[in-house]
Amino acid sequence: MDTSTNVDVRTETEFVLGSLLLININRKPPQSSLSATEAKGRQEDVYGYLGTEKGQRNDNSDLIKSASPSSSPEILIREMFSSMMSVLGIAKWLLQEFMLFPTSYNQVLITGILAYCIELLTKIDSSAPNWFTGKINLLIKDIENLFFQFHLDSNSFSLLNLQIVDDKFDTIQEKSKERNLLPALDKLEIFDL
Amino acid sequence: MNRLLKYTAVIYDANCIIYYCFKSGIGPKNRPIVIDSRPFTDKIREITKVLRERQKNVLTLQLIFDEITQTLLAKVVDEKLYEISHLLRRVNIDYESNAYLVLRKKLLKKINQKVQRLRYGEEWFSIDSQFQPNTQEIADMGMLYQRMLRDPAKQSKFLPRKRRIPSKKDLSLALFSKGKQLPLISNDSDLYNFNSELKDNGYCYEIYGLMKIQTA
Repeated sequence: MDTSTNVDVRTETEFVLGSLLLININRKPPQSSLSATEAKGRQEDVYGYLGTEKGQRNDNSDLIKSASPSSSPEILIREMFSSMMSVLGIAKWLLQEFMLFPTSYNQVLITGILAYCIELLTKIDSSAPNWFTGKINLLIKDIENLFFQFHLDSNSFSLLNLQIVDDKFDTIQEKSKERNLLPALDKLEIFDL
Repeated sequence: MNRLLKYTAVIYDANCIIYYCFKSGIGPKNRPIVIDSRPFTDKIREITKVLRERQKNVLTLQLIFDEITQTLLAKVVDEKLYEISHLLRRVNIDYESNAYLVLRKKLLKKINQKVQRLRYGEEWFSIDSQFQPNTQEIADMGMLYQRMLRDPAKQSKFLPRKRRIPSKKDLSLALFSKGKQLPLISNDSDLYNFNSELKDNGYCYEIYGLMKIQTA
């Protein structure tokens, strides 16, 4: 039997990601190296993303698209990582990571989306390009960007408005319902009492 | 209950709002798995019904509402689904499986919709976003609780598992009740058990324990 095709993608991912996170953490400048103005600027950037007032949610559509850190080595590593992995592999890894975030509306939302996409990708041929893999790929990219932006500050993640991500997911779920791909999940009813 | 009817409005804490919205059925409609916060859901619904019949309003603070929608609701959904995980196997859902995570998201969205309907669809419910608690008063309330935690005569009023100073958000609600001169309904024993102490020190107007209110 040719075992070369059965390599555990997750193990590779974890290794690559482990290195990536180490690089990421090591790259963070120590707080003391920031001048007061620089630190304030960064703080304002964060509040700019999160809303004008503390606790207020904001439309973060720009954030979701532009969440990639600006430094090029990290982008290169991420690109390398993404190209090595199947979308299913990335979704499974992201699910594991988001399960470690503190429980919040957004954490439940993202883990629910990832779990559904994993089931869907398992059901269809995730390696063949089609409508579903294309849409899920884009959605997973958005979620991946969110992860890289917030994995070191997972508490702020709860303040984001992720409606745009949920809307994209709804399109995928509707199509899946139409084709009856995941009947057990889609027909599970929840109603008000 | 009659004492509450003297006022034009009543303040609800986070738990009261969550309990009010937290009742859903999962699975087939003829044999659903009911998920709620009994007996609190029934109690707060009874109280709200009476208040609405008498054209009374319900108020809460913006910071409390944000806390509900951002984190608290998700935590309660998590806890409740864990409690009924043995029942979920009836509909082939294992705890923390992908199906479970999808169900958790669906349920949270459903309950969140009900909470948002309260905010935008109910005339009797309103949120105060103007009130800013006085930080000095919050600090003084913390000191008062610290003294009570050390006082053997007061210690029995704290639940054994809740020997702590209430959160700043809970303390803000007490101050809000003082500012508005309206009663607060809370299910936090570390607030309503110390109603007289907080009142004597000018930190609240009146705090009622949710389950201590007689509706019949």
